[in-house]
Amino acid sequence: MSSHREAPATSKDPVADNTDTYAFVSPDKPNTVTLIANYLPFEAPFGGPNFFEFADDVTYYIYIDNDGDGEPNVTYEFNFEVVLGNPNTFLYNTGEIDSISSPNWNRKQFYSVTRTDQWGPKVLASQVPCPPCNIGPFSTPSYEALAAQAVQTIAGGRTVFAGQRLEGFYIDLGAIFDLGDLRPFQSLHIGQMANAVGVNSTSQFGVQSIAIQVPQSDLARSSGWGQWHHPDAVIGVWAAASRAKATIREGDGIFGSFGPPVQVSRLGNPLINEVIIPMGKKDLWNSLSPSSDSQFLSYVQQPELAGLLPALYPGVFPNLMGLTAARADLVAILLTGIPTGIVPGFQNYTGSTYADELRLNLAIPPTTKNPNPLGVVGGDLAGFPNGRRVFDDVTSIELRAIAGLTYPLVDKSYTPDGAASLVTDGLTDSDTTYLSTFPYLGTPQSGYNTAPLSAIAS
Amino acid sequence: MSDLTRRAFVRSSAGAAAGLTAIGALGVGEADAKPTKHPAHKAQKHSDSNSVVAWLGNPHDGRITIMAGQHEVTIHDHTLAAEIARHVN
Repeated sequence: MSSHREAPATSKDPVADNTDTYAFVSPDKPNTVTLIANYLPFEAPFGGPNFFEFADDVTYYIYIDNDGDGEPNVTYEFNFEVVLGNPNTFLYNTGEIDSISSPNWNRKQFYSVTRTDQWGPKVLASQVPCPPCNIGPFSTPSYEALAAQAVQTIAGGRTVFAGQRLEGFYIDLGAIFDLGDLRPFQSLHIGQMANAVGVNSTSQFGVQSIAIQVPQSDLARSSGWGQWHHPDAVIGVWAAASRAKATIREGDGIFGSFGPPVQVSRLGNPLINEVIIPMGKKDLWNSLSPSSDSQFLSYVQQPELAGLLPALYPGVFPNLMGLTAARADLVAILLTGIPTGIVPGFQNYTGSTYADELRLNLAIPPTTKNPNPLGVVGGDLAGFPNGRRVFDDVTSIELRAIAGLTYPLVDKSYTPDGAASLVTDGLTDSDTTYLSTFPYLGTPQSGYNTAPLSAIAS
Repeated sequence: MSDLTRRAFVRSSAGAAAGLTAIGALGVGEADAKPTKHPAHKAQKHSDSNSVVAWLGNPHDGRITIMAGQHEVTIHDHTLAAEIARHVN
């Protein structure tokens, strides 16, 4: 998965588990950038009566590094507060919720947005309402319009939304975590089963999403961002979550949080802590800033998965098996950005500091007609790893990169295996749905309209 | 369930839902009759905002981290650290 339940600690703390981070030039408002950070994986839509919400005792962040040192220059901080209308009922709602201010909605949530830059913190908005979760036709009959009320314009021409969305990340977890199986190619797997179509394991699940749309000038280091080859055109983006250093539980439902926030989750590029960082270091990785990522360099240079592919698919990746050099292509894609001169008309290089960040070139215009979910490797410079759009097929892109497809970028004498350009879990962006406007992630499915998981014969 | 019966059931459910709202309002008394700000999180937190937590990561090095609200300070006091540790060992 991108970063769902990817580390031992976050798997036990879902409200602080940063599952996906996105950063892209807004396709319908190209003078703005949209930043999205998702939390709380695998929300079963029928998960009431206490439906999903952000944690009041977690602080959520979206960070921007615009000078390439792996530390934030701009921070958007989000703090949530539940407001309970009637503590004497067990019900989430006591009638139809026809607006986000409906008195029938008993457990509302509000949040504040604080932006911090070199001049210090500034509260951009407070008491911003979240939408309820999508419950069903009696409780939330006009959910799309209801959720749209939570799209709010705040100071400085910025737009925010925080609440439940349909999961936008698609992946065949059931197969991949079964010894690296890829159903479309499983006849070539050491397990040898007949090939099958991919199954989207995140289908119909919801997620808690924080989205903010801001002018480019909110993020860039200088006005040079308008030229794609200018160093200041590139920003690094990651998200995180923090909890107070100490929590005291006194019993009787009384607890207190004490001390400064301590980071417990972070996410820049998808799948890094998931499949690159080893189990014993995942919690450590989550606690650090990207500026500390040089200590994880060896895991990017020699990814475990690159060694597993030839072992799991005998004879399919002979050239990859012989590739023993440090993977400078993966280091560029994930830790430094791609310098000018590698991909015509494109760069997202932020310097020599190794830092896991989504690197977005603000001057690359969005692809509004037939965008390719394979992003840069598919010839679409507006997609991953130039930032990340909600529909980008990051699983296939990273699988192919690790399989050696991108190694010729740094060594033209290397010939990728034929399978490197084909390997996929068999899913595409058509396996979920999106919106064409902010907040871009699709409308969550209602609990009433959701059937439990079903079985697939092997 | 026939269509006619189902429609009747939906109508009666809608009425029940509306009634539920009214019952909720009646049941909680005048002070709570209208939705009031009632931060559940704060209601569950420590009632005394002056509370202080002291943490000894290693009782033998004398370092004591003291936390209140979102702030923390670290002091070095071997005597105090040893005294605190003595009570729990």
